[in-house]
Parts: sequence; structure tokens; C-alpha cells
Amino acid sequence: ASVMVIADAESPGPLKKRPRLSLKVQKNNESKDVKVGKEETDQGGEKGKEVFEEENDVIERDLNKEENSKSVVPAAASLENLGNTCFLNSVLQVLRYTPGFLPGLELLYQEIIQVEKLRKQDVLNKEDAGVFEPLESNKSIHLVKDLYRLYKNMEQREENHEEKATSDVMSMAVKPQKLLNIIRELNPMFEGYLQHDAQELLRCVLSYLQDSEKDLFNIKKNVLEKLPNKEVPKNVIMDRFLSKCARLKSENQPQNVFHQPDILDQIEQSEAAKTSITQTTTPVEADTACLAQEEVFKMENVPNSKLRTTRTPRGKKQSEEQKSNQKTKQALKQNTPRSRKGCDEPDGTTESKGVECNGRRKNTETGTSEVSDSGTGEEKMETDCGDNKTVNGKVNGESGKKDKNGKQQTILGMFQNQKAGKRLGMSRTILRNSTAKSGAACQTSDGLVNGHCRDEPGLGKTEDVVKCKSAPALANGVVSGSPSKNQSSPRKPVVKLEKCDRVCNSPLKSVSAQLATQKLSPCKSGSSPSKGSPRDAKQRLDFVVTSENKVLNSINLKAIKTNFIEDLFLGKMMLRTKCCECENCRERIEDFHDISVPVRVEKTEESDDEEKEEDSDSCLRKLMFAFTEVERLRDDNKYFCDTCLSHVEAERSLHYQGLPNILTLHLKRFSTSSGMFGYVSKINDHVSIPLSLPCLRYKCPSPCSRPDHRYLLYAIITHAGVTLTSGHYLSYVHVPSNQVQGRESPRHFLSTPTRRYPGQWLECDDETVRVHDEESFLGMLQGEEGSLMGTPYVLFYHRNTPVSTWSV
Amino acid sequence: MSSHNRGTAGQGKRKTQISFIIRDEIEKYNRSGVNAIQYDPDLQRLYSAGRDSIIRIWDTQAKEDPYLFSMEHHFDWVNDIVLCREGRALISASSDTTIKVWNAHEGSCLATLRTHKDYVKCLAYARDKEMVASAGLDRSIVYYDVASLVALTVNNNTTSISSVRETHSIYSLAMNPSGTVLVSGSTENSLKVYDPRDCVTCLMKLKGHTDNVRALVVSRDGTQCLSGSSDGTIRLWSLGQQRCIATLRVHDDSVWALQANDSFTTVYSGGRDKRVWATDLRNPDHRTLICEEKAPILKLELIEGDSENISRPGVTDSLWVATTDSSFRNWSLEKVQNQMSGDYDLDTIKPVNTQPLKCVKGNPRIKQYHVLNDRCHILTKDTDDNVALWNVVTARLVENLGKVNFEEEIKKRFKMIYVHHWFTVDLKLGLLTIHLDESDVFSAWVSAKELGFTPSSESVDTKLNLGQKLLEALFEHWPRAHWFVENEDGMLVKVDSPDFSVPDHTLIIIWHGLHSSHGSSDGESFNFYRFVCRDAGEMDQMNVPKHLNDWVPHWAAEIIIHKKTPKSIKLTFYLLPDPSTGIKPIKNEALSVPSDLMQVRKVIEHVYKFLRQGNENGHPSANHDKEVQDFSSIAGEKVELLCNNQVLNATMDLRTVKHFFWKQSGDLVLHYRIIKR
Repeated sequence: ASVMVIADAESPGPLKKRPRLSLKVQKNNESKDVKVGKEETDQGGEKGKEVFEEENDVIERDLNKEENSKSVVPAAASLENLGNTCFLNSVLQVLRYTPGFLPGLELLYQEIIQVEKLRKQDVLNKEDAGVFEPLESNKSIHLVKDLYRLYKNMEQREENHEEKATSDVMSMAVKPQKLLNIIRELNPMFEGYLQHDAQELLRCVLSYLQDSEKDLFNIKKNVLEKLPNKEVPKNVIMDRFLSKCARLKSENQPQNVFHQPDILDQIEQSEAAKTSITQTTTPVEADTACLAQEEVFKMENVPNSKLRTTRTPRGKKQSEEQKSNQKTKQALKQNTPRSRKGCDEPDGTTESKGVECNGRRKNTETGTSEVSDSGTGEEKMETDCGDNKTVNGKVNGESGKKDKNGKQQTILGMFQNQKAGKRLGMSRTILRNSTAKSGAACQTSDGLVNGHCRDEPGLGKTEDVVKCKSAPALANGVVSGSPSKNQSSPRKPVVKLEKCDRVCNSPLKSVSAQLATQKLSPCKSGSSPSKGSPRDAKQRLDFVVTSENKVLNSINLKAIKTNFIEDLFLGKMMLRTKCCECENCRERIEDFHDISVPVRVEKTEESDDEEKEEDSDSCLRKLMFAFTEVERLRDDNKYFCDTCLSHVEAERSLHYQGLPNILTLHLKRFSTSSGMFGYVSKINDHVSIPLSLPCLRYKCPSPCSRPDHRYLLYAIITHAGVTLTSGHYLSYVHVPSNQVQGRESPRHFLSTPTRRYPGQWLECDDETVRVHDEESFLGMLQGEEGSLMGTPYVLFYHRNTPVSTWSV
Repeated sequence: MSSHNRGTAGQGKRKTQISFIIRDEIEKYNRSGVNAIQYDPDLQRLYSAGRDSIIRIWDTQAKEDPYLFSMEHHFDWVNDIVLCREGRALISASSDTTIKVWNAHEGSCLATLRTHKDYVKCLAYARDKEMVASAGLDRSIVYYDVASLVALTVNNNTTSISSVRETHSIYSLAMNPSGTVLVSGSTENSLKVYDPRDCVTCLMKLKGHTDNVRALVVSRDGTQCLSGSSDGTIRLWSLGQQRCIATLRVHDDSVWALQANDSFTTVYSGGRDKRVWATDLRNPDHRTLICEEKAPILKLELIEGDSENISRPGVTDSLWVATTDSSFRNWSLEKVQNQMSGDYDLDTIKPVNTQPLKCVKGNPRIKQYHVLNDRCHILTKDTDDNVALWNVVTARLVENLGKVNFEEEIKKRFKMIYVHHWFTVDLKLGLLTIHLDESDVFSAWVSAKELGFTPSSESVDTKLNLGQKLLEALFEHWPRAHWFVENEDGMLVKVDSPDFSVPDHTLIIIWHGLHSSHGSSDGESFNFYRFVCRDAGEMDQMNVPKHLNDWVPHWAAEIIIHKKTPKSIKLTFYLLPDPSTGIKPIKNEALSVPSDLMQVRKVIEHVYKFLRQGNENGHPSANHDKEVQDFSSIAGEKVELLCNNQVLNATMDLRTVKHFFWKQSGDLVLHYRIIKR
């Protein structure tokens, strides 16, 4: 409907824009401002509405992309300049397009939500709600939430591109005001309307994120410690459920339900004999504090086996587990012991059964992935869903309890069902949460809690489905997750929970999305399940039931620390000092988050006259190797060698030992020394930037032939201007093509407009986003056709491997 | 183990320093690695340049004890030596930055050249022209005419030299006998070739090595050159073609030493892998493993028995091998020619020699030390794991403990006493070198009793300053150090003699570092003066007393000549009632005592007096010694002091309290309380 405008032509040039202050922006875009402000409040109030788009819709739009994109501003969200805040905007844009960053942020965010709930619950438990101190008081955690919301907001803007986008650049702009405020609170250095160093901000933001991970971990541990271990969960939970639901009802704010991402918890089933896995997901709604969970267990067991849920050891799945929420664990825990009891009573062959289960995990996994990977799985899933429904119905019938009256009843029903399951000797429990918002497929089952046990005579197949709707926050209990235990002792019954957050209502979609998610967030997945490191543990929510009698005692909830910032950005370098006399080496290993590259290689007196620079252009590669060049300790700076017991000449060199998945190169353009007037000035020397970097590891032969050691450029922050405190920042980001990401990102996750501009480069200049295809960008980079705006300042490379392989 | 100080040479910002070496009068055996060996075929003598700073002369024909004598004017590693003038003169290069010219037959030092500003690492000698070149870490190469060097005297102390400056530290140097070609190897990983006749221009630069070039040999005619490098290869270069004509990969590790026979057909090489190889240059696949040493090989000296110019019946080809170990050995090359073959397996190959022809034994070197916390004794451990106890103030070995556990000995000797740091230890010579620095030399006060000795013992609290006493002892023989009093006969009589004495062979070095750096630039070079303790009083030809006047730094002169007593260290502390006493602190002022050696007992007395005054208000103070004694013991029974909630021993001094109980910076806080019974 809107007029075709080419963004480039329409947008204000960077030079014009540079000095713009926030006041000016408001003036210029008064009409838009109202809108933006509204967005802002929505965002702040966490009342943004989730918009569900049908897949078809998106595809359709993709097809029409060309047409559309020309008529309006590109469908990539931009950030408003709030008064020389382009340093912030450029960094935010880069982070958004950093592979693995959004999933990591999402996980962290969900973790925060979960911990918050845990704490609330803790307070509820003690019945002194006044003590409750919101996590928001921790500023770095606050930062995470604000960052998350900002990205969410940007994503929504992109999703609503059709409706909202006009030829005006502001139509796609989001105001990062809250984030800016919290950053300024955290570090007053960023106050004021002067320009700041984008690199410094990046460092700060990343370290705050890291802090928040640490803090969150501690809080969580704290909370978990406080949680009563031996309390019989059922009643407490029931009480809380009831109170919560009552509150919910009274508040009667159904919209609230949608402002948070849903969390879908799945329990992956592996069955002993014939493996068939069904994962049904329904969109779930809960109040702001509650995450909806949906867990479906479907198990087919050989006749004598008890019900058992097992988990697959596959690394892929671990990412899901990690996301899963403590509540779920707790809820499950409650179920499990009971169901286990139920099933253990009839037969004593649990152990043998467990072995079998383990033996077949692999099959299960492959089966699952096949289903999810291929679109053909859809039908199957649907039928499965249908199955479940009917099953549920059956269970209901059998248990004689049907609750269709609403949430509370549903919850009650869940427990009733559990009881029923116990009575029936059910070994499998399927928890299912559904909400009023759930799609048609789920609606039928909505509000139902079903327990079903079915025996098939010939096969002795038992299929139990318990569907329950639960507000996870209410679950209380202690669950132990110990992956190594699971691994090592297959005899123990193991339950695995997998959780997936989703917004959309198609179960099929959610499943595939979930799997895609797994691929997208591989950095989180433990590479070796057997290690049993904290992270591994975190990624698995396992129940280990050592014996029937000790069910409750043996269950513990583990608090696990996430550290996606470290996983993404942390590298290791080795400082090696070699004595020139005895030639012994001393090595010290140090961490680094980015590499500062001097723009000018200082001409040492050593540099030989014969070896003249081949070209005046300093190539980045050369600069980087200059950085690793040998430093000589000599003259009056000799090195004391422990072997020679004397001061000797030595060579000190830096070697890259472990390289990060995201390599940040900071060109040292600002120096105090080169300035004529004694203040920080800028070196504007041209540095040619390669699209890919060769392997830097010192252990690899040079040149290193391994493609996975190479690095690919995905973002640049450029700076235009002459000093650190003035000028303008903008960023160029590469939108990953679907191939790079492996799979398109699931909709319920924070996402970037991958589908619209695969493989293209976005020039993010505050409110304005311009799209360049690879070729023209390369041209700009090399200065052939046009040029980048500003001089490259911070460069971002990612490892030349799919994100899914970034296990640490 | 205490931290090493930044040693003598090369570490800037030192104003003046006095160092001395604790050693035996005659150090007969090498104490540390041997950096270079030269052989005098006429006298069949061997010269070894040790890292212990001593050049020793050995008689290779001796049956029993090969040691002849030493030449010891250096005080840092001797890095290289060359024998000139048919064995009459020896030139040595040292890390003390000097080059010395010696009369090799007599062992006297003829001249000292301070042409370099940093460690001198290598020498090259052109026999036919009697030219010598030196180079080192100051990146310059200097050429000398040996005849003019030998002619240097105290009065005629100038000679014309020419030098060239390179860009990298030079680790190796070689000339051919006729002196037509000079090659240098440096950390630039390349060779540079000069014409010594026009030494300024670099003829060519040969690149190829990937690491430091540590050894060089030039063929007699100057057309070929061999280089050994830390990259583990030996390269044969054609200087005419200016290129590498062969790369020998003989060693597993860095190549540090090379020798070639006169006809340049066989190269002998040694290095960090401790192996000595002989390789046929005409067919590099033919090589022989001559021997395997126990330590990395630093230098090889080839003795050719039947070459044309040195024809000597009874002397077979052999190779002296110097290593980082203090003993060095002579290996036969007899079997080498026969054994050369292309068939070998690096892993299983056995050296042709298992036993050396000769071995010159060395002493173990001290490799580890620990300053005991009385700051007077040092425990050391040598390379044979012998542990020894030394006294710094007397510069003597106290006790050789043999092969005992070092850590346990340290523990055994732990005393609850804290003495300030006042000297630093250096082990680079394999011997104990003690450095005294102006900044802290006088910070160690000890009570005479603690030192285990009572000088005149009239008072209980005699305090001694260790630095002061040591300096007095070191300069005991310096006439100016004594006050003379005219006695009844009109004779001058020396009044005080030092409380301690050091062995009169102790080697003392005075450093004047007037500069901020040494070695690199043209800035003011540091300077030093070396003398033996007993020589301080002699008016010998080196004019020692006169020089000593100029050299002794003012801070030492104050003590030695003017007999000033160093200032004691003040200590400030807070004295507060213990919370349990319920006494309210009357004033919260810091108390200052003139010496941190004050004992806890004194403070207790003060407290007791203070408390009693508070109670009895104006009790006449006791004025008899006896009463003082009583007072002291009563005080000790009534009051106790605490620091960090630990009751303090009355005999402890305050600095010890501060160090062991207070354990933090900032003023010491003591609490007192009344002992209840």
C-alpha cells in the first residue's frame, strides 16, 4: 500500500545525522513518536502481544519480498538514536546478529524468569510475601531482561512489518531507552550526550551479561537451598496452585498471558521395545509469572516393564533440557515417584527394563530427529496428537474424573490423575499444559487432565498419557539432575524433560522448531555427556530414582550456571618466554575476550631496510601477526632465567591457543600518542579487511588447511569522525543464510530477519537500515564501488563452522 | 625460596651497589658451566672459560691434578676466549661487558677493554693477521689488532678499534685464519658477512635459518661457512654464491657448537640435545654419533693430531666438549672416519665412544638458596643436592650438611623473628654473590644476643646493624677505614677493629650505575671496580687505595670512614585496652618508638606504669636498678599484650610482632589486658 522508496535514497546521510540529539529526533518524527512511545510502554509493561503468524504467511511474504521491500523500509528493525547513542545502537545490532547470541540470551532470560518464580514461590511458602525482593534489583539481571525485551520488540516490529512499515525509517525503529538507562546506571561513564567508545560499551555489556549469569546462578542456588527438601510436595503444590489460580482468576487479565514467551516442556520418551515418539505441543498460557508447560509422555513398554521415561544422551537435545524450567522438574518429580511406585509395585523388573531402555535410546533419537527434520513428520505428529487426545479421553473415562471447568480444576485433575495413574500402575506420565489460547488441535484437550493406561494384549504395550495443565511456578519440590549418574547407571529409572518455548500453536511447528532450536543453540549443549560438568548437568533435567524407598530423598534440584558469553567470546592465548641462553620456555595461559590490533605497526629499529612493506595498505592479517610478533627482552629489560640463574635475553611471544567462537578484533584507532593536541585522536589509516581470517592457532601448521579453523566476517562497527568523543558509529551485519544457521530459527525464539535477507548485509545506521547484497558489500569493503561509511573500528568474525558445532 | 634480585649487569636504575662473592681462596674446579675452551698445542695446555667468571688453565698431560692456575679478573660469565700469538696471549669476553687481554703464560691481566655496553658473547680470531673481533648483545662488532692490545699499558691505554653496529643481538662470530671474511650470527636469524679490512660494510646477508644463529665456522679460504642455529639445523653456505648449499638436520634440538676440520670436510656439531655428531660435508648422509654428554653442549674444541702445520706424534684427533655442566671431557675421534655411514637409526644409534679420553672434573654449582629469617644465614643446595649453610656477615661457609632435605632444613632453622631485608643473593656464578644496595643495606638491626654473640656485653640491649658490620668487615684492610690514635710513644694505633671479619680473599665489586640503562644506547655506561678484600690496603700497581677513595660510595663511606651509625627504623603503633578489660581507651594516639627492635616487655612495662599511675596517681618512680628489675617482672605478671587476639611473648620485638601477628600494612595495633588469676 505504501509508496516505493529506496531506503538509501530516502535516509539522511550519516554526516548530517551525526550531531543529532534526541530532541531533534523527536521533532523530526513527532508523529511517529507517539507510536514509538506506545511501543515502549508496551514493552516496559511486558504487555506486548505476541503475534502469531502462520508459516504459510511467512513463506508467502518471502515470495513477495522483493515487491514489498522496495516499497517500504526494509523489514529489519532499527534502533532510534537517543542523542548520540549510535555507539549503543551499533553494538546492539551487532550482538543481535551474532550467531548464538540470541539463543543464549533467551536461555538466560528464561532462567531469570524461572528463578523469579522460584523465589516468589519460596516467599509464598513462607507466607510472608513482603520480603520478596525482585530480581530486578540486580542491575545486570535487569539489563538482561531489558535487552531481551528490546530484541523481542525488534522482532515483533519485523513480524509486523507489513502493517507497520512505511517509507519512513522510524516505522521500523525501536527506542532502546530503557536499556540505555540501565547501562548508564551500571556505568555512569556512558552518561551524557557525548559520543562514547563502542568497543568499551561492548566490553561492558558483555561483562554485565556475564555478571548476571553469575549472579543468577548464585541466587538460584540460594533459593534452591532454601526450598524445603523433605516437604511432601503434593499438598503444598496444590495449595499454591489453588491460590495462584484464584489470584489469576480474580485478576482476570487474559492478555497478560501472552506477553511472555511460552515454554513448552517436553518429556522425551524412549520406549523399550518399539519406539515411537510423540511430542505434542500446545501453546500454553499462564499469567505473567507462569510459564506454561506442556509435557507429553508417550511410552510403549513391554508387558512387565514399569513406566519409565528416559532421556536421550544426544547432545542436541541437551539444549532443550537446559531451557526447561525448574518447575517442570518439580512437577515431574512429583509425578514420577508416584508413578514409579505404581509401576514398581506390580513388577520388580525395573532394572532390566532400564537397561533395555538405555540400549534403545539411540533408536529413539534418530527416530525423533527424522520426524522433526523432515516435513513429512507432520502428519504423523498430527495423528499422534489425535491419539493423545483420544487416549486422554480414555484415561479420563477410566479414572472417572473429568475436569473441564477451568484451570484450577485442571490442576486438581492433574493430581487426581496422578493418583489414578498410581492406582493403575502407570509407569508413564504425560504432563500436558494447555491454555485457552492453544490452537484448535489442542483445544479439544484443553482443560483436560487425562491419565490413560492401555494394554495391548499381544505386545503388552502400555501407553500412558497424563495430560495436565499446570502452572509451573506452583510446583515445588526438589529434583535431582545428575547426568553422569544417569549415564553410568542405566538401571535407574530416568526421566528426561525437554522444554521448548513456543508461541505458535501448531504442534507440528513447535516440534520442528524445537529441533531447530537445538541446532541453533549448540553452544549450550554439552559436548560430552559423560563429563558431568556443571553445564552438562544443567542441560539435563534428570530424575534419578535410586530406589523406591528413597525416592524423595534422592531427588535434588541442581542449580546450574549458564555462561553463554564465555562460550561465545572467550579465547585463550599463551604467553611464552624463551630464554635465549638455555632456550628453555616458560608458558603462561591467559584468557582474552577480544584482540586489540594496533593499526600502525611500529617500526622497530630492527625492521630491515631490505624488507620494505609490500604495500602501504596495512592488511589486517599482517597487523594481527604483528601483534603476535616476538617481543625481545633485552638491554636493561633482561629476563631472569630460572635455569641459567642469570639475566639473559629472552623472546616473549603470544600464541593463540584456544580461539573463541566469536572473534572480536578491536582496531586500536584511538591513541593518545598520535594526537597532535595531546588528547585522544584517531588514526584513520586504511586497513583492508578480509572476509575471512586464516587459522591463528599456533599449533596448526601454517597455512592451516582445516576450514573449520577459519573465521568469517559477520559484522563491522565503523566509526566516522576524528575523535573518540565525537563522530558517528554504525554497524554492518551479515544476515546468516539459512544454511549457516542450519535451520531457520524457531519463531518463539528471539530471531532476526533471517528469512527475508539471507546472506545479505544490513547497514544499521540508527533508525535507518539499508540492505546490501554480498557483492556490493564486498565492493564497499574493498573500496571499489562506494565505500563503507566511516572507518572500520571493531570487527566481528565467527568460526567457519555451523553454530551447532560450537561446543566448548 | 627468596626471590631473585635483578642481578648485576644489565639491570638499570641502580645508583651504587657493593657486591661480594663468597668463595674459597682458590677455586680449583669449575663451579658452573664452561662456555669456551681453547687448546694450546705447544704447551698442551687447556684454557677453559667458566660461567663462574674464572678462566682456568689445565695441563692436559698431567696424571693427577690437571689444574695449573686461574685467571680471575672477570666477575660474570666468561662467554668466549681466544688464544692468540701462538699461545702467548689470551683474550676473553665476558658478561661483565668487558674484554680482557691476558698474558696466557703468566696468567696476568694486561688490559681491560670496555668497548661493549652489554654482555660480550663471542670472539673471532684471524690467526694469520692476529686480528680479533668481538660482538655481543649490544649489537656491535668491534675489531682489534692483537699486537696493539698486548702493548696496552697503564700509561699507553688507547688503541684504535673499528666497529660496526648491527640491529640484532649477536650470538656468534667467525673469521677465517687469513682474516678476509667475518661472519656474524644473530637473533635476526640470519648471517651477515663482513670484510674485516673494511669492516663497516656488510657484504651480504644470508637468510634461511628460522631461529637464532648460535655457532659459526668459516673455511680457511673464506669461501664457505657453516652455521648452527636454534632451529636445529646446520647450514653450509657458499659465500661466493651467497646462498645455502646444504642443510644438515643432524640434531633434534638447537645447535650450539660447531667445529670443522682444517680441510673443511668434516663438521663436528653439538647442541641442546647433548649429542656430538661428526658429519661428512661432502656426503652429509655420512655421520657419526661421537658421544653423548650429560648436559647441553656449549662449545667444541677440535684437536687435530696430524694436520700439516701441527704435526705432533702421539696426539690423535680428539674433541673437547664443554657443556653447561662444570666438568668437561675429551672424546676420541679415532673411530669416526671408519664409522661414517648413511645407515643409522636416530633412536637406536649408539655413540662410538662411551668413555671419554680425559675428563676435567668440576664442582657442583649452587642452584637454589633460601635466606633464613634471621637474615644472616643462607641455606643453599647445589647440583649434587648437597645442602650447605652460609653466614653472610662473615662471608663464610658455616656448615656443609650433605645430602639432606632442603625444605626440612629450612623448617628446622625457622626462628620467630623478623629482620628486614637488607641484601640480595645472586647465583649466576654457581657461587653465592651478595649484593648490598644503598636503599636497604642498613635496614637490618638485630640484638647482639640474637646473633649469638656478645661484643662488649655491658648492656642487655646491644643492637647491631648487619649492613654496617658487614661493610666494616669488607673494608677492614682499607687504611681509611681505621681511626688511628697517637699512643704514648707517638705511634699511630688502630683503635677499633670490626666485630666481624670476612676472609681476606673475598672478592668485592663496587658498582656505579650512573645511567638508567646499560647496553642499549649511547647513554652513560655503568662502571664498576673490582678488588680483593686484602688488597684494599696495598698500594699496588693498580693504585687500589687511591681508586678506592673514588669508588667507595658515600653511603658506605659514612659508615666505614666516619663511623656513623645507621638510623634505626621507627615504628608507630596504637596501644589500646583489650575489649575484655572494660577499660576505656583514654587517648587514641599513635605511639612512636625510635626502634622497631623494642621488645614487647618494654611496652608491657609502659602499660603497667601507666595503669599504676592511673590507680595510685603519682607513685614515686623507682630509681634503683633492682627496683627496675622487679618492676619489669611485676609488670610481666600483671599485664599481657595481644595482637590480633594472640598473646605476645615478652621477649619478642615489635617488628616481629608486626610481621608474624599483625600481618598487614598500616600501623600495628596492640591490645593490653590485665592478667587475672
